[in-house]
Amino acid sequence: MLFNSIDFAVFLPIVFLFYWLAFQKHLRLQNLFIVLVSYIFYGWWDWRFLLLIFFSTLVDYWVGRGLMYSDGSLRRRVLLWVSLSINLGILAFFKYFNFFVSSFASSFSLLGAEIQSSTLNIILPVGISFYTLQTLSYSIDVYKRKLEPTSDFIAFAAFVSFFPQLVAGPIERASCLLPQFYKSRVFDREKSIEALKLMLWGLFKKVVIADSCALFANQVFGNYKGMLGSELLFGAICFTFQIYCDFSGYSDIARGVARLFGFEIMQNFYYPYFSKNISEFWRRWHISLSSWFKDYLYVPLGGNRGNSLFKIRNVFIVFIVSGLWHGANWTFIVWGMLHAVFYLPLLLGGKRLSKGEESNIKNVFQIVFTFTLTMLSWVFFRSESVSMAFDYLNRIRLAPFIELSSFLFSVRVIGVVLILISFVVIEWISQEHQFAFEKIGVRWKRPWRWLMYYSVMIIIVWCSGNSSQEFVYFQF
Amino acid sequence: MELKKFIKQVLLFLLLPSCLYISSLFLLRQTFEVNIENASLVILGDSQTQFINGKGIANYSIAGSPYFVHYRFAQEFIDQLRGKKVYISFNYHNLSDLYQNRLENDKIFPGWRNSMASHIEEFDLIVDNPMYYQMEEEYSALNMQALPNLIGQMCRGMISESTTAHIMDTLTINTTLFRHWQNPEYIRKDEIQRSYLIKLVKLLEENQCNVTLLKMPLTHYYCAGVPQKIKSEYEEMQKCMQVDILDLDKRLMISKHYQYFKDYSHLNKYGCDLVNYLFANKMSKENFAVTD
Repeated sequence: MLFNSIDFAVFLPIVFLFYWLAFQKHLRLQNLFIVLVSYIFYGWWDWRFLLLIFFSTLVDYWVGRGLMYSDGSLRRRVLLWVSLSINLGILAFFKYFNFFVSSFASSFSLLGAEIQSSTLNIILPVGISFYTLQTLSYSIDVYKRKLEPTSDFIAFAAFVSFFPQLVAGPIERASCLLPQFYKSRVFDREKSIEALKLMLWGLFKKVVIADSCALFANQVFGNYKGMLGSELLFGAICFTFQIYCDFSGYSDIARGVARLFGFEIMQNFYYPYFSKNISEFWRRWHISLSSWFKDYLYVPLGGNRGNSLFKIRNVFIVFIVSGLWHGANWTFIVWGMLHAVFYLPLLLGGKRLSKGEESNIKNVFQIVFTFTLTMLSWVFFRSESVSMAFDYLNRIRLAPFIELSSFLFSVRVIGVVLILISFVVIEWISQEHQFAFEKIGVRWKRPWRWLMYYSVMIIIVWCSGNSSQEFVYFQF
Repeated sequence: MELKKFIKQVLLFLLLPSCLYISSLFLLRQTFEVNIENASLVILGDSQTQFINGKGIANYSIAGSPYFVHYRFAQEFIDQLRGKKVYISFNYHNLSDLYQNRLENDKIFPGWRNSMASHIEEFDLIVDNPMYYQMEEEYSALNMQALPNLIGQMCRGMISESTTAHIMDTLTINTTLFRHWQNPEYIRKDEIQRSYLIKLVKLLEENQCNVTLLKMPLTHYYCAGVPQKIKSEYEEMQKCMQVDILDLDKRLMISKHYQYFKDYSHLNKYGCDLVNYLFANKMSKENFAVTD
């Protein structure tokens, strides 16, 4: 079920009313209800994969219980490996099997030996990359004794399948989300109104900005060979905003929906395109994933300790794994490697913390520079192959400096450019707040405030006519 | 208490735009129906005819539109169409296999099927025909786009073709010829297009409409590349349906004058002005539907 679908618009109020009116006084029933509706939400896409979530839930619950009753380090380690190998095994099979088989075969063909590779026709279960990391964080934290294992299976199942963030995150840590299932939730009107605003803003980002940009990004990347350099550059800018607004829009809606049900989930994006360097970008972009990799991969690898070579190795491993997490394609691996390369000067120069708060020319230059670097890397992320990405960038590089086409002056392109400029301005002036829409109009009188919300809703309804796109991160 | 207050507030918030939406939709729909009623000519066309506008013309042209969309439109507004002159776009490319193949295999042209589905009952808030043309997956019972669609449709006449550029080479025409007639991905024989054209004409004639097939100009290079089989089938279908045809290709004789075309078949500003001038002239005369 998509957040921007009519199905969800019907599903949400029904679930909300039942949740607060019928089950408010029974915590276990309320949790059970969350499991049930989360499974309906997920099963709407393909009910067969519910078994996979249920199996993953069972395994990690059992591992948690096992870890609770075992003191021996060997037994604990075995249990952890059971969890790691089952979860990562499922992920590897569904997501990476074909990629590894074909890469293996092609690497042999480079050496002159032909190997017949047979790939499988596998459907990637939606959200598998997200809930796998979420359940793994539980097992690892319990193993490291950072978290008490739960004995409440329903609460644990609700934690794994919690529908607002099940299919595209944020990837919540068990230590933050799980305890919220133990406490009875009290309805808070103010928070719920905030939640609706957050959802509205998320929907605006997705439907108005991301989907509009997607039309042009798809058009340009789909026919890049026949496009001028300026059009290719425009396509890259469109994709840069598409992926941000698509994913952060989803995260905002997820946070808003969770808040409606009395839960707080983490902020996944914090104005990433205003970062002054790549390190800051990764502290603002997909925060739940980057912090996951930091805590469960980078730090165990040794982190910043050791000599420069050791640090460089760790950074490359983390970024390559992060790229691979996004998809089974070399383009994602190159995307990760590029970010590692961009990160190296900061790592070796020791300037990872951005300095200077005021918005001076230097800051603006740094922001534009970091934005350009990320945009360049998104070309790899969006391209179908690494060679296509290089070809795409090469065509921009070789294009004459001023080469404007009539395409760039069409009404629709100008419309999108104006929307993007307005969006950047709104985000810029709202940087202090959790989300750009948070404080706009709060001091206005109700009719004006409502008028503003109505205007946003009208724009959303109007733009929902652009062939609506799935959330980009669903494919991961 | 808090919850009740919240629900009340949300309902109040939603009530106003809902009422406004429904009443605007109702009013615009009435106006739209009156527009069709007042028109002396209705065009059920495709991208080739989108620009045609003028006094007394109601133009329902959709880019890439197959006849089943027009058929659904005619069913919906048959009371307003009754007894009217109706022009239906009919050209060689309308008989290409691309329609049925795109319909059954979305990968050939991602999004096209979805876009066509959105035109079915596009002016209705409640879409009551989920099984229509095997598009269940694109079906949504509540069509929030009904109002924007209606406004868009009513504004369409105000927008005219502004491109003055003209086609410079035959390469793009070759690409189109390939897309229409030689694409190896087309494995289905197009039946839906032919059968719905016949159904559409039958429905309109049953309702005393004066149906004319409208053949818009095509570039000479494209025409030469159309398979002979299709040309014969085209003639055959026209005879079989026993309806008049207005061949603007013959009337304007511009198929070799590429300065009027922006691509293989779409006219640029100069070409559009020619056609609109012709329509304006003819509209002022009583007997517009001249048979060629």
